[in-house]
Amino acid sequence: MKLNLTLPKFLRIGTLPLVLILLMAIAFVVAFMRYAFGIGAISDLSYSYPWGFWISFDLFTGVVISSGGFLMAGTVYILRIKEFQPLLRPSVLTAFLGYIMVVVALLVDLGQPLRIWYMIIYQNHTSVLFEIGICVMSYLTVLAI
Amino acid sequence: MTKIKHHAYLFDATRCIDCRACMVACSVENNIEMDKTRIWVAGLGVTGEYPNLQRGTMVYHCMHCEHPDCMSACPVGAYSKRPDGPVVYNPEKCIGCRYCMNACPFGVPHFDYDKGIIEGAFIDKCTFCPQRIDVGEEPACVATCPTDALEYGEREELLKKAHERIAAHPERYIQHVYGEFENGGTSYLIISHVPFKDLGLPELPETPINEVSEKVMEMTIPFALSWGAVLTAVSAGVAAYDKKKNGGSEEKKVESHK
Repeated sequence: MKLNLTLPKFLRIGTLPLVLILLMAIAFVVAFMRYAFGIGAISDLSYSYPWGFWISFDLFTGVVISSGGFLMAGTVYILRIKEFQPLLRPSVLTAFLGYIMVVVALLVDLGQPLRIWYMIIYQNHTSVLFEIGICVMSYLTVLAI
Repeated sequence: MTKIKHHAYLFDATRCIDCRACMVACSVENNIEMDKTRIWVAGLGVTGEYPNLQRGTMVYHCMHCEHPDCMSACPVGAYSKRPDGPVVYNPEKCIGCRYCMNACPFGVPHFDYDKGIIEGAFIDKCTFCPQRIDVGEEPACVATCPTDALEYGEREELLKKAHERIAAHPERYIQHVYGEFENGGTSYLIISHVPFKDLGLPELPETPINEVSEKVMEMTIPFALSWGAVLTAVSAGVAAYDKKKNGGSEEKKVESHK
């Protein structure tokens, strides 16, 4: 008798999702290490270089991805070029995901991730980073709407 | 006990013997581990050619600037400047973004890289020992210094003392008091026999960096509002143009998709 080795349909996954799941698993382990043992355990940040690769990579990639969404929204709503209407929703969704990526990266990077909302109640108007924080928060709100 | 209006340190590099007792004293007084001490000593080693040999050592801790860049940069306002000098850090507000470490021109704030989410990772820096200076005692590092390389007192008096000492031995010192005007003035004054640059001190303009950045920051709200106005005007203009061209039918279509 020939064995039926084919998996049921819901268990069949391609190679690429498998790789992604593997990457996610590694990322979860690393994130757990960061929360358990501190930022020094998973990165080589030092007193001289307090902001490293993940600030420049995660945050700026997220922001750059999002800029496309804003441009598309501007094209459709402000310049009213209706030919771009079908592209609007996917691009705004991408932009939203981009900013979500920024916030997730921040949750890993901040020393006190639970206090990420403190920027709303303790405002320091001379800080450049405060302005960036307000921008991230307002853009996320706009994109979520 | 004299009332001090503006607390300050004076460091004389010619007197420092590199004993590092200040590090130990700071560690004991503030109950911090030795490898995370708020004060640290850098030595230049022996420099010069025989027989004109010399050594340079430098004691670093927070400069307690008059216009602190860390305070200007912190997005949540965890730093504050006491009117009598010290720059204090409030861990209750800190979100751990480490922007102050980037902002400080002297690289003073230190971060707990080895603490997880339960212990909480904070910034640490010199506090000017408020528990001691508020009751009229010297800070721990000054009290322990065996050669009086570190001195503590009123800023005006220490400045006068530094200038007198330089004038009395012009062959021994560089004719400059570091911290008198650097970055808008600091509460940590340094006189030295080797160039300040060699001691690891940055050359800073008299205008604090944060004044430049704060001027730019003041412009953000007007800029954002005017940019919004420009975009609204463009939007209204395009809408009017569409209406003129198509009799308003196109505009309604776009609106309905919102």
